Amino acid sequence: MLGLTMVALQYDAAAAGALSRALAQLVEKLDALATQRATLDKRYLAGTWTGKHRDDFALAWTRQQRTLADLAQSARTAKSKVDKATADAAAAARVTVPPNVR
Amino acid sequence: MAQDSAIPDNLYRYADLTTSTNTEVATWVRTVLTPAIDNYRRTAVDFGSDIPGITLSATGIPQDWLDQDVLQALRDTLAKDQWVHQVGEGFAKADGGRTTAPVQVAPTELDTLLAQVAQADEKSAADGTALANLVLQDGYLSDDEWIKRTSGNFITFDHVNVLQTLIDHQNDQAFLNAFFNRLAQANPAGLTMLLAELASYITGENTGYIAGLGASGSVDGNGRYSAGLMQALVTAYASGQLSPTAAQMLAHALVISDASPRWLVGDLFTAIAKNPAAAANFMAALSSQDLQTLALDGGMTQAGSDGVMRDVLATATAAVQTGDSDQAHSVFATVTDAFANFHSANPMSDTKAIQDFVSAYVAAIQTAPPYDPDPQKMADELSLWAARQGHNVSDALQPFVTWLKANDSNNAQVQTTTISLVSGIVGTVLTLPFGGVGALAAGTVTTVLQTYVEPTVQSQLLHITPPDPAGDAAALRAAGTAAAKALVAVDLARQGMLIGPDGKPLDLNGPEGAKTLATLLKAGSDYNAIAGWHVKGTDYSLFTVLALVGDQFDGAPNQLPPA
Repeated sequence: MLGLTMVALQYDAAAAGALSRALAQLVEKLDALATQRATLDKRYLAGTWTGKHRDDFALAWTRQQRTLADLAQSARTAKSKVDKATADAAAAARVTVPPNVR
Repeated sequence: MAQDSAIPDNLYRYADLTTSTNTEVATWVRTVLTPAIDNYRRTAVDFGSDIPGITLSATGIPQDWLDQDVLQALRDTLAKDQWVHQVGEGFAKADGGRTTAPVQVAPTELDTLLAQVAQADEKSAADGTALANLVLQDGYLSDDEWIKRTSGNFITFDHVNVLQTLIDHQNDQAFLNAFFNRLAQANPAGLTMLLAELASYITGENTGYIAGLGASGSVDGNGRYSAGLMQALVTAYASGQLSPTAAQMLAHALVISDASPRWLVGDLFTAIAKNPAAAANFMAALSSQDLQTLALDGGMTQAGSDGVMRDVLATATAAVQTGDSDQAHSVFATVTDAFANFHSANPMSDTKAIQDFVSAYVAAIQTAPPYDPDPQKMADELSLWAARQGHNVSDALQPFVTWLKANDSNNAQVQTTTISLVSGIVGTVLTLPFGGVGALAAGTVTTVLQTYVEPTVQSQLLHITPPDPAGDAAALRAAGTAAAKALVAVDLARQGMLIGPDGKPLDLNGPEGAKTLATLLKAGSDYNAIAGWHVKGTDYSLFTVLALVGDQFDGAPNQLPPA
């Protein structure tokens, strides 16, 4: 007999929902850290700290800001893939999607 | 070769504030994100098993997971930002320890000083751990045993020596972090006892022979010990390197615990409020329940309950000024949650502290108007931005107006205080540099306040009548809307985005700029009066944008103060 037995899947919509929320928070936290570094750099360092050490710091700082932005983008991409997987699973009527998954 | 130049305190501020946020994010990654990824990876078998960084290596290298990449990036930024603190120490060392004035030093000399600082930090950390281990072994060693074990480095009597040593290291982050973190790791509850014990020597509750001081009773005749201990705690909290357990246990011991040195509370908050990084970390270690307990128990402190609330608000105000909007939201939630359930103190005596706190919060969560070359995206983003600004002001005002109303049946006083609160918020926010644009001139701010905000708020609040809850809520809503509209219009204008009928942006610094803006705001509900004004890059009229701000209040009656 074919197609009469529902296969039990391991996909866990609650775990996916928790990860989706965590990834959204990660984006906010990485953006907040990068923004804070930029704000404080402007407030406390720009103009008053000059010289070789400042230049060295500025180079590394810029690279790190880019890394933080790249990681935030990776988190956004991962979140949309998680959400799509959850939607696909729900469409297959095999899992229940929690109402708070965005 | 050109000299290096810096102000040490500025480098400390940058390093301490970013370190605090970095540490908080890293803790969150380890405690929330990593478990969420691990859990998902185990169950995403049939769907979602092909996500780079989550279920698949991000780069093909085994175990290259997003959370680990984030932690590595955080370690890199933390190391670099902490290095800035060391550079500050190097500059300070070059200038005899002074930290507030610009210092110039040759790059090679600075390198030498930085090596000395790194070496000194290493030694300090070892010394801090060693002192903690001594306390853990036996906090009540005999004088002879102390002298023997410490090779004479500490004078004689145990806890006084601990106190003296902490004070000697009051500005030494490496020593203090090592000391407190080691104690918190080995015996968290012991921290409470230790602080109570230390305090007892300052207050004179405990007496004993004090070698070198030749006194019994309080060792703190001139306040040196009290001030030194305060500074040591400020330094430790400002570093952002206290472990979460140490930060929480210390805060609890200092503020809440029955064994805590109550006399410290007022002085402690005052000292911490002067350092934004210390304030942010200290507030993060306190829950709203802690604040309620503190306030309810405030009679035991020197300052009394109203004074304690003022001190808490001053510290919270410093804590929301760290440039981290997440942190600002968190502090605001903690403080307002405490107040929402706490109505026994009279807020009328603390209205200035409330105004400062709410203003700082609104300023901290404000975002600059969006700009996108794509007209559709610009319209969408502008709409969201305008609505969010309205929401921000609404959320910020609501709990405090509720508190004011719950504590005073004198309607006139509530009206006066609310007008002052709203006006103060708008005035403060407008006087801050924002979005890459400098602060508005004082005269411009005054014109906007006196011509539009204050009369509008006043006319609305006249409708407050206690028997009429609906009218009451509507009046408060309208007052909040006026504040939000002023902020939105000024933000657009100072970014050069408010375009007049002549196609030119409104110049707020021009002779008629402030007056024109106030006139536009006053006529804001009359489409025809302001129809010629629109927002740059969109076909949104000023009228539409201001309506979007107001919708946030009108559409969310449940968010408004209950009558």
